[in-house]
Amino acid sequence: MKEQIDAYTKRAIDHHDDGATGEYYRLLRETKKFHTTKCPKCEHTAYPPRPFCPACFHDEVDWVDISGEATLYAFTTQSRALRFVAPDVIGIVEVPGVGRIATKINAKLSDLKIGQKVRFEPFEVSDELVVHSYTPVG
Amino acid sequence: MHRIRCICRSGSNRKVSNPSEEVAIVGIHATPITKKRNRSIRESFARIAIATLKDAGVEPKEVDGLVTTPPGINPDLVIMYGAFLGKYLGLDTRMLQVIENGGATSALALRAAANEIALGRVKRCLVVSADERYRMNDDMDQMLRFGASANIGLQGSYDGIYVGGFPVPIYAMSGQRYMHEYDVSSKELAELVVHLRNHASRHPGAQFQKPTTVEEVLGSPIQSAPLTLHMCCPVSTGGAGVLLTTVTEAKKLGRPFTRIASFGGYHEAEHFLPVSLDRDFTTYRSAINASKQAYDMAGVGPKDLDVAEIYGVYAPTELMLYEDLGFAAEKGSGAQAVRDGRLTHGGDLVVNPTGGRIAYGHPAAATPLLETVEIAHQLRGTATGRQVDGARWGLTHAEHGCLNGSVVTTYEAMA
Repeated sequence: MKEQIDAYTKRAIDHHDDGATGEYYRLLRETKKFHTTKCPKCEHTAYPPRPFCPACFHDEVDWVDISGEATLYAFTTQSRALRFVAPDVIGIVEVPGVGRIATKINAKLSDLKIGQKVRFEPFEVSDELVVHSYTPVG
Repeated sequence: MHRIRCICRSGSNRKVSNPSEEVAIVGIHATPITKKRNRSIRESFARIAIATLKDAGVEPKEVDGLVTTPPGINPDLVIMYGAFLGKYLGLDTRMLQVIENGGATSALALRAAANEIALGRVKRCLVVSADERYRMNDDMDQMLRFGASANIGLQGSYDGIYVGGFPVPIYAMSGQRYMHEYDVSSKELAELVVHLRNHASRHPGAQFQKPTTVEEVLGSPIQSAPLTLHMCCPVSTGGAGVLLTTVTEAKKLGRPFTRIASFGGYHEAEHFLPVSLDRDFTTYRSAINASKQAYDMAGVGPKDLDVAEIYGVYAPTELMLYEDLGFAAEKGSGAQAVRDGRLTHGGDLVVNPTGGRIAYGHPAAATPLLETVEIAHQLRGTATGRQVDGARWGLTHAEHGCLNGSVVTTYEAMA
């Protein structure tokens, strides 16, 4: 079942590739770093990444590395864990200068607290797909 | 009149029709809300249309506009559903539309129909919406495609990876922030559910007919912490219909009807998750801004309202909406307003007399139109068993995304 879900996921990501999505997942897979797009004109950092700037509509973007520390803003579990093994802990982390991002949290729910520091970690879903996740610091 | 002539510089003498007819609701129908469907959604649309016209006392050949919503979450390929439905119902129309935008779907269908009436293009416009959730779990293959691929189509190729149990975890995290920032307890969330189940017990079409207790709500399985099952809206099937005409035409019918007084709308440039650091998970600017527009355009405020049906799909969300729509004194005081009895019969206004999404049920695409039907019942005095005495002003609120978008409509009773 995991293989089927992973295959559907990969297919859907490829199907919806807007020019930024493919590059985003290539960078995660090959550099194991979390990148997103930044406008060279107005300097707005966008997440999710786009092939254009959603702040000023400039039609070219640069890629910037946003791996590093973030702050845990909210967290929960999903009873219907589809892609990750239950208990599937997910959260929203505040990445400085970027925004609040939904991600996988590598910890037990009972060990988590709002406001604690977390650090980016690449998570290998399959050979073809690497996604971002966050682990509590210390 | 002289002054108007002076500022008209086009030199044209063409006469234009008055582009501002007032809009009236003269026919309504709601199906009972159930978990599973008991007939095909195609039949539901037809039965709703028939019952709505019967309620209005209008013949099919008098209808010249049809606005519908897609036929539920359905694995079949459906395009041109409006054209299909027009043929199926045997309606020749001047205007035919299918409207979809998540939870606001049928609120926007109502707005599209009202616009056509207001502009004088259509005389009698039927709005029909039905939703079903039954077929989602028909087979594992379908569910996998829905869960893995559709989440990416729906939420994008980034958030869609993580939130497989969409949308419950997103509302759960919004709820966690609300409880954290405003010191709201799980018990207070449970008390809200008890209050809404009491309302639903007065409505014969509600999905949950029996009252509940705080212990039962807190003891139900955790869906996504901090939300227990009973703090969430159920999986529902149901639908509603509304027939619109002009206030001038409605007055000829010689019985009470409902005037649509205003629409307000707002969409944040966010999809489900408010990503930007200057946005909020606990104060929804879409609900604030949409209701402000609706209040301003109708010339009323929250204190003028007698009854409201709002899109509180999870217990914390419902409390936040009480605050953002102006029914509770300040942020964080939603639970107190419920405890003080201000939002039920005998209070300031009755909010969700049906029991709302949590207790009445939530066939999402049709929910806004079900809200409209309830307000129309209340304002014409036919909400048997749950009638708000002397109700004159009503409001409905609908949502798309996770509160990123709101549509607010106000209504006035007309005799």
